Amino acid sequence: MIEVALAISISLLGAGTLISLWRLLRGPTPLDRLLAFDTINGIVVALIALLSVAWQETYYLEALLLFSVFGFLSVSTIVFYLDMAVSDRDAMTNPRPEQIIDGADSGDERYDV
Amino acid sequence: MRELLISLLLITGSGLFLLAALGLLRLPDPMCRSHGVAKGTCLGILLILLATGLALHGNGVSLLILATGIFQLLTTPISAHLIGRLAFRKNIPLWRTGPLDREGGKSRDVPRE
Repeated sequence: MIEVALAISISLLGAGTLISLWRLLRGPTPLDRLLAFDTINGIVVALIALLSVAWQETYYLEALLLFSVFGFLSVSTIVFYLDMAVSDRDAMTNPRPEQIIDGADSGDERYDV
Repeated sequence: MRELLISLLLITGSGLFLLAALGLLRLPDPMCRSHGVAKGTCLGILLILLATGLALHGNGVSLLILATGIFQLLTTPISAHLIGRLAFRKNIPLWRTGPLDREGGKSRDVPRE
Protein backbone atom coordinates (compact mmCIF):
# COMPACT_ATOMS: atom_id res chain seq x y z
CA MET A 1 0.00 0.00 0.00
CA ILE A 2 2.80 2.34 0.85
CA GLU A 3 4.45 1.35 -2.42
CA VAL A 4 1.43 2.49 -4.41
CA ALA A 5 1.28 5.73 -2.44
CA LEU A 6 5.00 6.28 -3.04
CA ALA A 7 4.57 5.73 -6.78
CA ILE A 8 1.66 8.19 -6.93
CA SER A 9 3.55 10.76 -4.86
CA ILE A 10 6.71 10.52 -6.95
CA SER A 11 4.61 10.92 -10.12
CA LEU A 12 2.92 14.03 -8.70
CA LEU A 13 6.26 15.51 -7.67
CA GLY A 14 7.72 14.77 -11.10
CA ALA A 15 4.82 16.57 -12.76
CA GLY A 16 5.38 19.50 -10.42
CA THR A 17 9.07 19.54 -11.32
CA LEU A 18 8.29 19.63 -15.03
CA ILE A 19 5.83 22.50 -14.60
CA SER A 20 8.35 24.42 -12.49
CA LEU A 21 11.03 23.81 -15.12
CA TRP A 22 8.71 25.33 -17.71
CA ARG A 23 8.37 28.43 -15.54
CA LEU A 24 12.15 28.42 -15.01
CA LEU A 25 12.61 28.44 -18.77
CA ARG A 26 9.90 30.92 -19.69
CA GLY A 27 9.72 33.24 -16.67
CA PRO A 28 9.69 36.84 -17.82
CA THR A 29 11.53 38.20 -14.80
CA PRO A 30 14.34 36.74 -12.65
CA LEU A 31 11.88 36.63 -9.76
CA ASP A 32 9.82 34.00 -11.56
CA ARG A 33 12.93 31.94 -12.13
CA LEU A 34 13.84 32.35 -8.48
CA LEU A 35 10.40 31.16 -7.41
CA ALA A 36 10.71 28.17 -9.73
CA PHE A 37 14.09 27.37 -8.15
CA ASP A 38 12.52 27.59 -4.70
CA THR A 39 9.73 25.21 -5.70
CA ILE A 40 12.17 22.71 -7.23
CA ASN A 41 14.29 22.85 -4.10
CA GLY A 42 11.25 22.04 -1.96
CA ILE A 43 10.42 19.18 -4.33
CA VAL A 44 13.96 17.83 -3.96
CA VAL A 45 13.62 17.89 -0.16
CA ALA A 46 10.30 16.06 -0.45
CA LEU A 47 11.83 13.50 -2.80
CA ILE A 48 14.66 12.80 -0.35
CA ALA A 49 12.03 12.18 2.35
CA LEU A 50 10.06 9.92 -0.01
CA LEU A 51 13.14 7.89 -0.98
CA SER A 52 14.15 7.44 2.63
CA VAL A 53 10.64 6.12 3.30
CA ALA A 54 10.89 3.83 0.27
CA TRP A 55 14.27 2.39 1.18
CA GLN A 56 13.73 2.42 4.95
CA GLU A 57 16.99 4.25 5.40
CA THR A 58 17.73 7.04 7.84
CA TYR A 59 21.05 8.21 6.47
CA TYR A 60 19.47 10.62 4.03
CA LEU A 61 17.58 12.70 6.57
CA GLU A 62 20.65 14.81 7.22
CA ALA A 63 20.77 15.57 3.49
CA LEU A 64 17.17 16.73 3.96
CA LEU A 65 18.23 19.30 6.54
CA LEU A 66 21.22 20.36 4.43
CA PHE A 67 19.13 20.86 1.31
CA SER A 68 16.57 22.98 3.12
CA VAL A 69 19.29 25.17 4.69
CA PHE A 70 21.18 25.66 1.45
CA GLY A 71 18.00 26.34 -0.50
CA PHE A 72 17.04 29.15 1.84
CA LEU A 73 20.57 30.54 1.79
CA SER A 74 20.62 30.49 -2.03
CA VAL A 75 17.29 32.25 -2.34
CA SER A 76 18.16 34.98 0.15
CA THR A 77 21.60 35.48 -1.39
CA ILE A 78 20.18 35.86 -4.89
CA VAL A 79 17.50 38.22 -3.58
CA PHE A 80 20.04 40.47 -1.88
CA TYR A 81 22.30 40.37 -4.93
CA LEU A 82 19.44 41.41 -7.23
CA ASP A 83 18.43 44.08 -4.74
CA MET A 84 21.88 45.62 -4.93
CA ALA A 85 22.72 45.00 -8.55
CA VAL A 86 19.68 45.80 -10.65
CA SER A 87 18.72 49.42 -11.04
CA ASP A 88 15.14 50.59 -10.81
CA ARG A 89 15.06 51.73 -14.38
CA ASP A 90 15.75 48.27 -15.69
CA ALA A 91 12.88 46.93 -13.62
CA MET A 92 14.27 43.49 -14.44
CA THR A 93 11.92 43.04 -17.36
CA ASN A 94 10.75 44.62 -20.56
CA PRO A 95 7.39 46.11 -19.64
CA ARG A 96 4.77 46.43 -22.29
CA PRO A 97 4.50 49.97 -23.65
CA GLU A 98 1.19 50.73 -21.98
CA GLN A 99 2.69 49.85 -18.64
CA ILE A 100 5.47 52.42 -18.83
CA ILE A 101 4.43 55.37 -16.73
CA ASP A 102 6.12 58.73 -16.74
CA GLY A 103 7.82 59.44 -13.48
CA ALA A 104 7.34 55.89 -12.28
CA ASP A 105 10.87 55.66 -10.94
CA SER A 106 11.29 56.00 -7.27
CA GLY A 107 13.49 59.04 -6.97
CA ASP A 108 15.78 56.77 -5.04
CA GLU A 109 19.13 57.37 -6.64
CA ARG A 110 21.07 54.75 -4.75
CA TYR A 111 20.40 51.93 -7.14
CA ASP A 112 20.87 53.77 -10.38
CA VAL A 113 23.82 52.43 -12.28
CA MET B 1 -4.17 1.78 9.77
CA ARG B 2 -0.76 3.31 10.12
CA GLU B 3 0.02 2.53 6.49
CA LEU B 4 -3.25 4.13 5.42
CA LEU B 5 -2.39 7.28 7.36
CA ILE B 6 1.13 7.40 5.89
CA SER B 7 -0.20 6.92 2.35
CA LEU B 8 -2.81 9.63 2.77
CA LEU B 9 -0.24 12.08 4.13
CA LEU B 10 2.23 11.34 1.31
CA ILE B 11 -0.34 11.75 -1.46
CA THR B 12 -1.79 14.91 0.09
CA GLY B 13 1.64 16.49 0.49
CA SER B 14 2.63 15.66 -3.09
CA GLY B 15 -0.69 17.04 -4.32
CA LEU B 16 0.07 20.28 -2.48
CA PHE B 17 3.43 20.44 -4.23
CA LEU B 18 1.69 19.92 -7.57
CA LEU B 19 -0.74 22.71 -6.65
CA ALA B 20 2.20 24.99 -5.87
CA ALA B 21 3.71 24.24 -9.27
CA LEU B 22 0.36 24.84 -10.98
CA GLY B 23 0.07 28.17 -9.20
CA LEU B 24 3.56 28.98 -10.41
CA LEU B 25 2.46 28.18 -13.94
CA ARG B 26 -0.96 29.81 -14.02
CA LEU B 27 -0.88 32.88 -11.78
CA PRO B 28 -0.21 36.12 -13.65
CA ASP B 29 2.40 38.02 -11.69
CA PRO B 30 5.44 37.37 -9.40
CA MET B 31 3.64 38.42 -6.23
CA CYS B 32 0.70 36.09 -6.92
CA ARG B 33 3.14 33.34 -7.80
CA SER B 34 5.10 33.79 -4.57
CA HIS B 35 1.82 33.55 -2.65
CA GLY B 36 0.91 30.24 -4.28
CA VAL B 37 4.40 28.78 -4.00
CA ALA B 38 4.84 29.70 -0.33
CA LYS B 39 1.58 28.14 0.85
CA GLY B 40 1.83 24.99 -1.24
CA THR B 41 5.48 24.29 -0.49
CA CYS B 42 5.24 24.95 3.25
CA LEU B 43 2.18 22.75 3.84
CA GLY B 44 3.34 20.03 1.47
CA ILE B 45 6.77 19.68 3.04
CA LEU B 46 5.22 19.56 6.51
CA LEU B 47 2.82 16.75 5.53
CA ILE B 48 5.56 14.73 3.83
CA LEU B 49 7.88 15.16 6.84
CA LEU B 50 5.06 14.02 9.14
CA ALA B 51 4.60 10.91 7.00
CA THR B 52 8.35 10.28 7.09
CA GLY B 53 8.38 10.56 10.85
CA LEU B 54 5.52 8.08 11.08
CA ALA B 55 7.16 5.63 8.68
CA LEU B 56 10.71 5.67 10.04
CA HIS B 57 11.20 5.43 13.75
CA GLY B 58 14.71 5.12 15.05
CA ASN B 59 17.41 6.89 16.95
CA GLY B 60 17.42 10.60 16.35
CA VAL B 61 15.17 10.44 13.31
CA SER B 62 12.35 12.35 14.93
CA LEU B 63 14.73 15.08 16.03
CA LEU B 64 16.08 15.58 12.51
CA ILE B 65 12.60 15.60 11.04
CA LEU B 66 11.40 18.04 13.68
CA ALA B 67 14.38 20.32 13.00
CA THR B 68 13.77 20.22 9.26
CA GLY B 69 10.05 20.90 9.71
CA ILE B 70 10.65 23.87 12.01
CA PHE B 71 13.28 25.23 9.65
CA GLN B 72 11.00 24.94 6.63
CA LEU B 73 8.11 26.47 8.56
CA LEU B 74 10.34 29.42 9.44
CA THR B 75 12.13 29.99 6.17
CA THR B 76 9.55 29.40 3.44
CA PRO B 77 7.46 32.49 4.33
CA ILE B 78 10.65 34.49 4.77
CA SER B 79 11.91 33.69 1.28
CA ALA B 80 8.48 34.40 -0.24
CA HIS B 81 8.42 37.70 1.63
CA LEU B 82 11.90 38.59 0.36
CA ILE B 83 10.85 37.90 -3.23
CA GLY B 84 7.65 39.94 -2.87
CA ARG B 85 9.60 42.79 -1.27
CA LEU B 86 12.07 42.74 -4.15
CA ALA B 87 9.18 42.82 -6.63
CA PHE B 88 7.80 45.85 -4.76
CA ARG B 89 11.12 47.67 -4.63
CA LYS B 90 11.98 47.11 -8.28
CA ASN B 91 8.56 48.08 -9.63
CA ILE B 92 7.84 44.82 -11.34
CA PRO B 93 4.77 45.31 -13.57
CA LEU B 94 1.72 43.94 -11.84
CA TRP B 95 -1.28 42.16 -13.23
CA ARG B 96 -4.07 44.71 -12.96
CA THR B 97 -2.58 48.07 -12.25
CA GLY B 98 0.94 48.41 -13.54
CA PRO B 99 3.83 49.29 -11.23
CA LEU B 100 3.03 50.12 -7.65
CA ASP B 101 3.23 53.62 -6.31
CA ARG B 102 6.05 53.88 -3.84
CA GLU B 103 4.27 56.33 -1.56
CA GLY B 104 2.02 54.31 0.67
CA GLY B 105 1.87 51.35 -1.64
CA LYS B 106 -1.40 52.36 -3.25
CA SER B 107 -1.87 51.35 -6.84
CA ARG B 108 -2.01 53.87 -9.58
CA ASP B 109 -5.10 54.24 -11.68
CA VAL B 110 -3.91 52.66 -14.87
CA PRO B 111 -6.55 50.92 -16.97
CA ARG B 112 -5.77 47.35 -17.74
CA GLU B 113 -4.73 46.79 -21.34
